[in-house]
Amino acid sequence: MAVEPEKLEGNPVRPLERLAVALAVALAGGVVVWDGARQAGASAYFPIAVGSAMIALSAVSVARLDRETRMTEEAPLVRGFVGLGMLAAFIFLAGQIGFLTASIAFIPAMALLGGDRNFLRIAVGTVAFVIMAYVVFNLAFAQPFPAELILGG
Amino acid sequence: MVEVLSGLPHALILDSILAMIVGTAAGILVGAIPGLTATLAMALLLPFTYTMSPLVALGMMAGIYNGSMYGGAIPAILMRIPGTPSAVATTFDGYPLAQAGRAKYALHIALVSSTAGSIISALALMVIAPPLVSLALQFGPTEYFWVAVFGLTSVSLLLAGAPAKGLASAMIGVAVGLVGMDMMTGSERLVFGIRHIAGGIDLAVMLTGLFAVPPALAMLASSANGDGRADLTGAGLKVREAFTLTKTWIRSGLIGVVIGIMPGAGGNLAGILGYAEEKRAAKDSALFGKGDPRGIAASECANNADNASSLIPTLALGVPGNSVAALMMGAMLIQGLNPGPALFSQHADVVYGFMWQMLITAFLMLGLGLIGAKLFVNMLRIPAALLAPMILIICSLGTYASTNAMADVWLMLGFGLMGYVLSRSGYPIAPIVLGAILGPMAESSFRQALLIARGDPLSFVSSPISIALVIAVVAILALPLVRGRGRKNEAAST
Amino acid sequence: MLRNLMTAAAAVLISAGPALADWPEKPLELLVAYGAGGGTDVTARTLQPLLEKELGQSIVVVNRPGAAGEVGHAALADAKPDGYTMGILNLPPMLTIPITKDAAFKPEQIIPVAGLVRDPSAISVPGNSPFNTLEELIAYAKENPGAVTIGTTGVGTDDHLAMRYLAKATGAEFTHVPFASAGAARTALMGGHVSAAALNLGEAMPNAQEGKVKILAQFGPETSPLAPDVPTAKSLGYDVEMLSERGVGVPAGTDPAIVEKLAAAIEAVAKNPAFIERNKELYTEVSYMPTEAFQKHVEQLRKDYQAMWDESPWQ
Repeated sequence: MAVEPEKLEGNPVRPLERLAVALAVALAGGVVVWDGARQAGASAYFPIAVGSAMIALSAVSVARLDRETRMTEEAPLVRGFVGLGMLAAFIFLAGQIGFLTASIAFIPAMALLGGDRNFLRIAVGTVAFVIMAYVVFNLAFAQPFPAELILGG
Repeated sequence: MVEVLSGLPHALILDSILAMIVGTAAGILVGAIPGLTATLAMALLLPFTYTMSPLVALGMMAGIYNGSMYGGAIPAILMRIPGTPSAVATTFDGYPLAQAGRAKYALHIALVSSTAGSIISALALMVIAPPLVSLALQFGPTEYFWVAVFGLTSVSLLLAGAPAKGLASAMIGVAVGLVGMDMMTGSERLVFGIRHIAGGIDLAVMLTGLFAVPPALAMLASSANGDGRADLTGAGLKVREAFTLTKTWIRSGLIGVVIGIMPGAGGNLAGILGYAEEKRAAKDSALFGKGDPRGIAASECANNADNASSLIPTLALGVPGNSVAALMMGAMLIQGLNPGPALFSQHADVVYGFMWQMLITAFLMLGLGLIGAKLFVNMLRIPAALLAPMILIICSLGTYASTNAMADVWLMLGFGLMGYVLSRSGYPIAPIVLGAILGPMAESSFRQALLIARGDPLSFVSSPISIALVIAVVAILALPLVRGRGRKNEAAST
Repeated sequence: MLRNLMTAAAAVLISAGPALADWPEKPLELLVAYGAGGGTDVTARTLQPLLEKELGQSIVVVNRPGAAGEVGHAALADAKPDGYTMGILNLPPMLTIPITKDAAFKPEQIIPVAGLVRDPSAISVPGNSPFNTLEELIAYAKENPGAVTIGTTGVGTDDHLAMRYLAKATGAEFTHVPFASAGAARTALMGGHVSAAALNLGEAMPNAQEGKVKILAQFGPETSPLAPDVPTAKSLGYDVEMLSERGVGVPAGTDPAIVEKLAAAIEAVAKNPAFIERNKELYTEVSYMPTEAFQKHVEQLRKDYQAMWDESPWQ
């Protein structure tokens, strides 16, 4: 799961990115300390300690940073962020037109991003999934979901 | 003992058996879908139990409870996505094994280990419930504080490879655990005016985002890279091989039972602690994290072993050990059964019948689990690029279903981003979850203990249990040093 | 933005306008501001099947936990007032949350329809405690200020308030030890880690019957039929009254005719022997309050809590 120094295959992670993440963790630690300092009395100690530890540990990571490019099993940077963007769009749409209706656009879009060009397979897979999800979540669980444009919500 | 046996016929009536089969199957299904937990399944089942007879309702719940703990291992092994929070440690060795083409073997280990854990736990519930309860009551805030410290220490050991990043992850988790109302004073921390998180962040939401989103994103790239995909080919687990895991089962089974009894610790902890202890105890720990069968066995056995034992305080004291036990107690209350010692005398048929159901569902799981794994493996025939959006949709639906709030689905996305970015830079994800569980426990128990002792720091080492826990913490820190030296000496003498 | 989204989702969810004469003509939602399996949830699920029979429509219990009840009450306050969304009201949280902070809802946004059950706060000690009466406990606390530790179910809960006002009424000094839940406070009490605990009567009753804890007094207005042996604090000469109550409410703007119909259905459930018996098993006391009386009661409580807060804030 983590980047292992001896790992030779995978997607590259440049030193600049590792530096940026270490700084982001330190920044988050700073926010925790700042919020902790606003607290009164006993509520303040623990956050200040935790935030300070985050900053100190980031400093260690920055100090140990080298110039080599490491490998990771996670998705490459651009594709990962486009995927996350698509998920954000899906969640936004789900709140407006329902989870299943939004799925009809989301599944093909992400499949194309993943490099699948077999359009028939994508179409059949999307329809089959939406029907299955409808049966499991709406009928079996009978949970109230945001209303769907299709399938009668 | 006679009372215990008298419950058996009640558990073996046709209605009860059917309920257990349905419950176990449903549990495996729910456990295997990331975002859906046993807690959610039981919450959805609860209204229907109103009209059922007590043992039908409880049998179904026993099945869901045991089944979901195994179900969580299926995606953990096949896709590196833990289906339930307690299956986090199963991904460590399960996924590498599956990648090496031994998914069937890994799933079999998870299944027999889950069964072993459930059996150990059910036996503990039947035989040693009363004395264990009085032990659990000895745990006050001081003792809970040391338990939390012990948990965090054993994890930093687990991540000996990159201590700074491992500890940073744990601290990020603790910071996430800080979000919400400070239980001791009522003041809000790290809320920044967002009402939805004023009560804290739902653990299941955080877990789904951290663990399901990054692997789904990785799938988008894997088809392009032509990565090896897991399937059910290869040899399964041989009966003879299974028994070589007996020691692991006993060790993690006991860990699971003890954690289950302590109210508040919860099963999410059992799997990780069982794994850490197994790695520590192993003479040759080099293979851990790369596909050691003992890693899967320890995690799966421990997370099932806390099931029945978490019902010990529930049944005996009316104090549920975790959220699932709380729901079971809710179901009992709806049936007019009030947990507590009186329950054992007034409704012995139900109590002991229920204990047998916990044991029987462990065996049902063995059969249903094999079928379940086969069904889920078919999912992997779907091309990765098509499977990725489906996983993300199921996670979104599951997250929404548990709290009925779109805000939690956005939160899941946020944690997905966090997990993806951190993991790319070499920060391990599992300690984040552990930090979020243990951080608040450490803080509140520390402050409660100081309040009770009126500020006397010596109270932290005043009870035998505290002292034992402190020794355990020191030992776990010192052991790698001692062992390392021992090996050197051995090498020198030969 | 998130709020807007959620409101939009909720608005889309409940489409058709109210047709009063035929109400209810589709399934209803019953919001619960706490998680499944808790006391409020059990009340809702006990009410659900019986209310379904009275109204002739199915009712879906929807848990909206979060922020100690704030999220659920806000969801009720913001729901479309068409009569198809109702919620369980929890007192005092519904009133104390907006007092203690700038909350996401105001009590005026919710119409109290009927009071349903109540559970007085109570003070308990471990079974082997040297204290056998409230008087002994208070006398000891006065002699040794701060030596008596009292576990509660958290800051600002009815139990915490009960403890505070007992301290104020007697001049005794207690050390407050908040726990995350009733279960945690109860375990600490039974293990003898705190000298006493403020818990609801129903939460302490099962353990009291087994002799694991002793209930010294409860803070209800009169002796509870569930525990006739437990004296009220008032009868012992301490003027403290604090109880946890649950009722049903609908969003402000709901048609009065619907409120009336709903109140009648709830009254029928509250008088149903099956409902009363089930609640007895759950150690909660059914105390039905019709719409007008309940609304007056809520308003009076709101004034009381505001006055208490202005005098001495509890957090």
